[in-house]
Amino acid sequence: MEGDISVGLKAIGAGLAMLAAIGPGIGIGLLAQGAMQAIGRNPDAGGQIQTNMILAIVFTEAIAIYALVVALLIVFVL
Amino acid sequence: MSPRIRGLIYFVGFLAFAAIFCGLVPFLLMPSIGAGVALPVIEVPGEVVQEDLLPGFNLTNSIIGTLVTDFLLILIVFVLWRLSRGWTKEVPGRLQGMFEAFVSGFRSFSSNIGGERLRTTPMLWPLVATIFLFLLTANYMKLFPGAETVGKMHCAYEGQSGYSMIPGWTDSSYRLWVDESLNAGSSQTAETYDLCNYYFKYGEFSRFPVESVEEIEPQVEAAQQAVTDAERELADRTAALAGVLESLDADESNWSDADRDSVNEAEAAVLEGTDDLARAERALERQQIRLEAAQQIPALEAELEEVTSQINLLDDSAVRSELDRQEDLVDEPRYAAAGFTLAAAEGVADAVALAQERGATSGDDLSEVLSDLRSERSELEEELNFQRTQMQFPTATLTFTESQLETDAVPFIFHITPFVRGPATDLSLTIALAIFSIVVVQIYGVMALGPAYFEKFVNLTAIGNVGKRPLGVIDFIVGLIEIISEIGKIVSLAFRLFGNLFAGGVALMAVTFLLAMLVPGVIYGLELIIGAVQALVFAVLTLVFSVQAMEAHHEHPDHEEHDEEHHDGDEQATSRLHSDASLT
Repeated sequence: MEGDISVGLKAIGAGLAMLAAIGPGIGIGLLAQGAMQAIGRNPDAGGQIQTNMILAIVFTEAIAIYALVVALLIVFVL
Repeated sequence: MSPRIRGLIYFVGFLAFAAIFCGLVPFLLMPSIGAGVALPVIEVPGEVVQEDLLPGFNLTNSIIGTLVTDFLLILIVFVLWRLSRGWTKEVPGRLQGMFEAFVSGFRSFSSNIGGERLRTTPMLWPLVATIFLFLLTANYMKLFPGAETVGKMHCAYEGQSGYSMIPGWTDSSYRLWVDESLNAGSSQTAETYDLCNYYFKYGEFSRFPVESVEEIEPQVEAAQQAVTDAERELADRTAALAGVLESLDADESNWSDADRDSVNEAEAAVLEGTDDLARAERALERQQIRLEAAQQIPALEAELEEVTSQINLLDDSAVRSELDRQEDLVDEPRYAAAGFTLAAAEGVADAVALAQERGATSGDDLSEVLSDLRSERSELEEELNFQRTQMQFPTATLTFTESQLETDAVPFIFHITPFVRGPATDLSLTIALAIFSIVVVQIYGVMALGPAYFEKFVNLTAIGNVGKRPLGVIDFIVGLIEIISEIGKIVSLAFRLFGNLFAGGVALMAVTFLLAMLVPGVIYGLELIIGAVQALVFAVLTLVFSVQAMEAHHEHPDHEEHDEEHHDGDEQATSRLHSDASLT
């Protein structure tokens, strides 16, 4: 396998695919920001806010997972 | 002892523990007993455990995982049914109370989302709860020790990488033999796969001893004799079969049972003869390989010795400096003119002569010559090891060194396929569940709204009103895009679940193979959280889509016909808001 260029190219492809994790990273940060501010304003509603935040984070995370799936496919299947 | 000192002792103890069990044991101790850290098997599709269980159907390990999950779920429900005496026990015991709290928690969470519809729509709550419980059980079953790890050993399929095998710690058990940490194994090709299967097919379990040419030649002759005998036997049996067929009617339907029996017997005899012939031919082939190996080994050993001695002779700084000295002196014109031959310094005369023979005139050339010799030596070693392996295991596909040959390892390429794999790590299950959910959502929509539900996709009303409102065409196109959105929902549901669980499984395997102790515990914790959350999200999304489908889609506010439903939706939303406000 040494010197086999296809392995190297696959690695580059997987690395590029994971760049897509920037988006959900920023998105989750924004979600958390909103949640923190809401809890700060209304600490009693903390439980509800937290539950809804977790739900929203799961959806945002899914996009990063799509990128991870593509990266894994590139490395292990292609 | 102050807490700080105690803390220091604990910390140092922990570091020592980690150093021993994450460093020493997996990377130093275990390879020496042939249980080194291999690389994990990661395959996206479910791995086949049993081919052709039913015609055209391969049993994969994710199917087995699904069956185990089903069994566990039914077991849990049965146990709770017994504990609660058929759902009648009013004062719950511990287990029943726990489960009741769990289910009622999920129910209240769902009614926040689903509202009234959860109670009135038939089978909505059971569907959502079943999806949640099934996925929860599936994701947690995957984490149980033994799932995705214990498996069946077999010759590695083409393209898979594998390792050699050694008899295990009990009779007739085997284990993979890895004597180098993080060894990626050897890749199996089609022909090495066939050779590995012959190992099992013909039961060639015993290894041959190391013998010389004289000892092997009679064995070759005996094998040749066996082949000739088998050929003759087969010819006899084929002739017998032909004879039997001749003596009977040409028309098969006129045969009696005795006739049929005799034909079957003769055919079976011919098949057995063919098999025997194949065995005999293969035995001959193997003895011939051994003979060749026996013939080549002495020559190779002699060559290797010579090259090694040459290397030892030349690998001397004295030789190098002598060569440099000679090179410098030779360039001086007065020596060349005088025709002196330079006598080499004592002790290195042979080495210098050899080096000059090989064309080395300076110290640098000597390094080149040495590296050439070294590569020659490693090639010879490789060839010698190959022949030695072939001597004991004819047609072996791996090459063993001498120390490896002393162990019980078998030089073919083997692979372990886990028996059980988490169901949700297989794309087949997640896509199937996602398609099922979305189809059910459409059914709920039709149940609630009748065929008018499909106006969501093909907005006929907007087209009908195109005279009054030409911009209704946009609504129609939006409706068509909704179709794509539904397909997008299927894809996102499937891949969210698959991605989270598959990536979690891969991360767990990778970390376990690299840092055997304690660190996988962190990943395990992550997997526990993610497993529960993804199960919840899948179920809740199904509920949300169903509720959305059952609500009439909101038309342009100008339309009076839809005002009523509009108001109903508003009422529901505001009533929920009020109830939420009253709680806080």
